Amino acid sequence: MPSSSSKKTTEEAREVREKSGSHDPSVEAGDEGILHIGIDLGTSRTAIAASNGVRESTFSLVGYPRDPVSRKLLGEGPLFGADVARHRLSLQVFRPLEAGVIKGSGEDNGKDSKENMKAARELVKHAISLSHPEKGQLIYAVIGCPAEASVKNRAAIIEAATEEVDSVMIASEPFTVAYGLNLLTDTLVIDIGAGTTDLCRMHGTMPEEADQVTLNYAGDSIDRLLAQLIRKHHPEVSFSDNMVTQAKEASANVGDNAPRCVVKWPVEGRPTEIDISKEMKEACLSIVPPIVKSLGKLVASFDPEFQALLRNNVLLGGGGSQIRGLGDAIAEYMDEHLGGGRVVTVEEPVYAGANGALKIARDMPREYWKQLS
Amino acid sequence: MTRKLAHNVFQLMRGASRPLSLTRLRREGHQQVPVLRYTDLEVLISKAVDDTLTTLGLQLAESTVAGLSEEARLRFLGLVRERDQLRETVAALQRGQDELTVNRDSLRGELARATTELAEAQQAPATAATDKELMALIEALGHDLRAIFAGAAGSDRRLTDAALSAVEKALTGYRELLAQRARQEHEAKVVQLQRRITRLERKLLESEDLLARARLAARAGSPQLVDLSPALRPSDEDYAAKRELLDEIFRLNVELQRMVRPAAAES
Repeated sequence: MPSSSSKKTTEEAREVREKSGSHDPSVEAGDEGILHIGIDLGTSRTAIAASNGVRESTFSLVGYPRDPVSRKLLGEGPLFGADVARHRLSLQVFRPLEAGVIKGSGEDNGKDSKENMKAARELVKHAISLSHPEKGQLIYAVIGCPAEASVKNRAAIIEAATEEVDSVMIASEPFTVAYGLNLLTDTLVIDIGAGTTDLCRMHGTMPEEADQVTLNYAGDSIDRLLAQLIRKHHPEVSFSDNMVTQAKEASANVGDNAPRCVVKWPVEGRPTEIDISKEMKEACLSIVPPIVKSLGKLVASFDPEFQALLRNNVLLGGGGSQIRGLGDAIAEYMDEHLGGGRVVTVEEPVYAGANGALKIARDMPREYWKQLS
Repeated sequence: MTRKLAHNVFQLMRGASRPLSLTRLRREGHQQVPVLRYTDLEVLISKAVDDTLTTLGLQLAESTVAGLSEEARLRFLGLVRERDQLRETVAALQRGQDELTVNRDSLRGELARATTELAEAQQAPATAATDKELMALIEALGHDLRAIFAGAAGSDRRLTDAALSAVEKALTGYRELLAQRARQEHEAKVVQLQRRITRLERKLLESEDLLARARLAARAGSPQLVDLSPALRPSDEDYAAKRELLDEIFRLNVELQRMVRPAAAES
């Protein structure tokens, strides 16, 4: 919850914006005076889509210079995304989101949760700055959060954004994906993020608790298993978690004709080519059975007349859907265990959530935004 | 480049191409047509990758370059295959739409029958057969009871009338109860059918939209699933359904902010 100092920061921020002519709440703006923004605040990546056509994404990393030397080199302010990865040794690094929500926003209110909250706030501020709002524009934002995020988690996201926007709403991530693609009925959305995989059954009305499932089998769990398998089969190789994630993002492929996945990692200090194709495939496929099991449950509890329609209309999105061949692997597993199914991968995995959130923001009646501001 | 891959390219390109007869080409004034071998196409893809890497100044290991070329070729095959899949999708959607139409029409017939039955049920207090049976039962029972009471020693006419009236009242009540139940059943059936019709009609509209987009995508050769349409307008077909969803999102956010704000005020 915001402290008095954070209130002060809000007022200061508004004062700065007003002084610079960037915001005048007393002016009644037309649509041209409003910037609608959709944000997918992900554990690994944050994507933003804005009504002025800007679409950007950044790694969900925030770094603060560690000491006076780093400050001299990198400046005072926090660094974000790829810059953090580049200068990580000189920075105190925060990955403020975990399992799709702000770390520590559940129950714990200790030092870590405060620091993560601060980093999350900076990340949202940075994401919004990427959309280049014009002076005087009102900013209305919809932020996606995991399907099963608790009220406290949702409240923390609102709190992180409130200072930076004029009005903010939260919507479930898989729902934003489906809304963006206009697939609001008889569709099963699988949104594979870094921290969680969200499944959501769309049937024309707002998904309820029974329509949504959040699994912890996602990008991070693949990375963990991949590191474990490489360590087991190639104990001589030195590598970091970051190297494992990079290798996955560059070459994850579960297709039958997948090219070999070869990395050049140090063995006793000497860069050596290591074939990790088998480990990569096994780790990437590890998320398929739990996903299909949950899909099965969502299908089985649906109106029997429309179960086949639902099974044949599975939409795969999120960063994890970039694993080549994953859609086919899920469909194959559905064939074996659910008696068939058809999976379509979204065209823009990184932006599908943000695009949908933007669409909700634009469609939302203006009086609703005003009431929440 | 493997023979198998070249064969795949050949098969897929042939599948994706549009056949034109020589007669038609001649009629259109073509004397010669350019011929491109599928193996040339593969070489071109590979060269495109090499050139791009050189232009970008990327100095990669030979195995990585080979991997990228292979990946590009596979992606190319994937795109051609995707186009074929889209055609299949269009056909499957068309079949699905036909099924929905048939389903909707049969439901409409069912609804018409149920509506007629309801109207009839509302006019007649009970279904004719049951009503007739009950009336006959009341009459027979009255006749029998009168005979029994008339034959009894010291029978009292007033007592007989009172007993008959009580029996008739009970049976009439039962008759009305049956009629009411029948009406309720009909009404529930009509409501259920109307709901199913509404749902099916909505699905039909959606499937028409999906089909139109899939047809567009199949023509363009790539999936065009991202909706870049303007913001929601009251004239939009799906306005009511979407507005309902937006209202719900707003309501949930109002509740959430109500929870957030008092806590913020306290701290």
